[in-house]
Amino acid sequence: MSECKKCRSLFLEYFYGELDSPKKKFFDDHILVCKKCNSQFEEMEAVLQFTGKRVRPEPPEEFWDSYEKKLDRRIEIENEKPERRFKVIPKWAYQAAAAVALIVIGVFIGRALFSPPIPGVQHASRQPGLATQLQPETILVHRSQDYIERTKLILLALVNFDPSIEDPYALDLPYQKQISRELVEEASFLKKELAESDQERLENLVTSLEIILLQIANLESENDLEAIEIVKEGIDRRGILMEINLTDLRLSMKKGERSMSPEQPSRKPKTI
Amino acid sequence: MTQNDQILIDRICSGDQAAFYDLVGRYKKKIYHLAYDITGDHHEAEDISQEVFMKAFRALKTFRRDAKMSSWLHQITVNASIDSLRRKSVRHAKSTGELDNVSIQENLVASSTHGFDPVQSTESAQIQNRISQALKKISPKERTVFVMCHYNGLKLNETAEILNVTIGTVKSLLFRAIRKLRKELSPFMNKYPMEIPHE
Repeated sequence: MSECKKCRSLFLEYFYGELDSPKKKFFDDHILVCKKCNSQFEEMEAVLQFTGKRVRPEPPEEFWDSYEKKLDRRIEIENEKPERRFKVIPKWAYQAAAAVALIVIGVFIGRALFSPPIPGVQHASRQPGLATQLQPETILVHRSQDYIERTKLILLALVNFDPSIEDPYALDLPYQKQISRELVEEASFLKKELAESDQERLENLVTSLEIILLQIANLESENDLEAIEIVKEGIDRRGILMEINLTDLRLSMKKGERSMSPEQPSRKPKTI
Repeated sequence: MTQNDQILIDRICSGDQAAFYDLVGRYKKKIYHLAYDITGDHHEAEDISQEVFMKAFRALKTFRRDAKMSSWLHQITVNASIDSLRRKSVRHAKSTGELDNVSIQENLVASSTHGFDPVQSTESAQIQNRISQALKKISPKERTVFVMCHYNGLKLNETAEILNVTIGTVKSLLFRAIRKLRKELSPFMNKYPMEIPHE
């Protein structure tokens, strides 16, 4: 290190009186002979001396007299505060909870879609003449389920269609469009009946399906990949397939309850 | 750590609340002054200094005995003051700065009544004002290092220890602060040259 560099690195320690004797002697000797370092030090010294003129406003004595009292009060208030009921939950806990929730939903949906049909329900539907005994509301629900199932097939065909690896004509769009048109027409009647029988959730689902089906019916050609992507995004954004699965699940659970309730013997032990 | 500090901590840990207030009495001015120098606001400094003691009160039982009490308190103060500056810059608070100048000038007027020299008093107020303004123009880190070494009597190595940086970093921040202050203040330094002290 050159002497000038070494000297400049000691400016602050020199000004604040933090140099030991050998370094102070070196500094004094160098400053005497080096005009450049001397002038630089004087410049820095001038700023430090000028800023040293600052007078910090001192609070009045009363401020200091009441300081401990104020602090005491703050500590008291702090101690009086009830403990936080909700502690900060770490991020991993949310992630774990989300994973568990997804597994539970997956199991429910899986059981609803792929489990063997409940024997009671199958048996009832096979019985001749039983359909005629069904209530009009049940018939409407069955029709809606059938409608939803047919729509689901159309939607799945579109959602699973990947133009990057499949031939656009494999989608058979004219056929899909024709079916979609038929389903749109059917939707208007079905919605009306559902509204009359107070099936609001089913009505909402049929309305959402009608919008998507209308978009499919209006697709121009297989090569209009952009429009197909928009429809796919619409299905995804509205969570249509999820809603269909949940409705299926809900309806099959209702069916299960209904078929079990009349014949099922009470599990409670009879009291004498 | 001084022996007195060690005794005080032992007393506090054994449940002696009076010892805590002895500690407050010993450090309150130092902590308030440092917070004031960094934030430039009396109310903020009061709030920060009390917050520092509350934190100390809560954490004293887990305080490392080999650590230096004053360094620890200064460290909490610096962190709290810089946080306060950040919050303030987010809120774009302007009013406190104006109040500050008023309080500085009031203080100067009060202190100058002994001299009865209105010209000198006005000059002094102007200098105070310029220095405060110049300090506000440098970055919070530079200002913190500058006020710690220049106005609070902390040595370079103590400042480095409190800020958990090397002495080289402290010096570099100080040089930068001085260079910027020189740029801001040079017109006034020529206008109001330093008086040569009579030896």
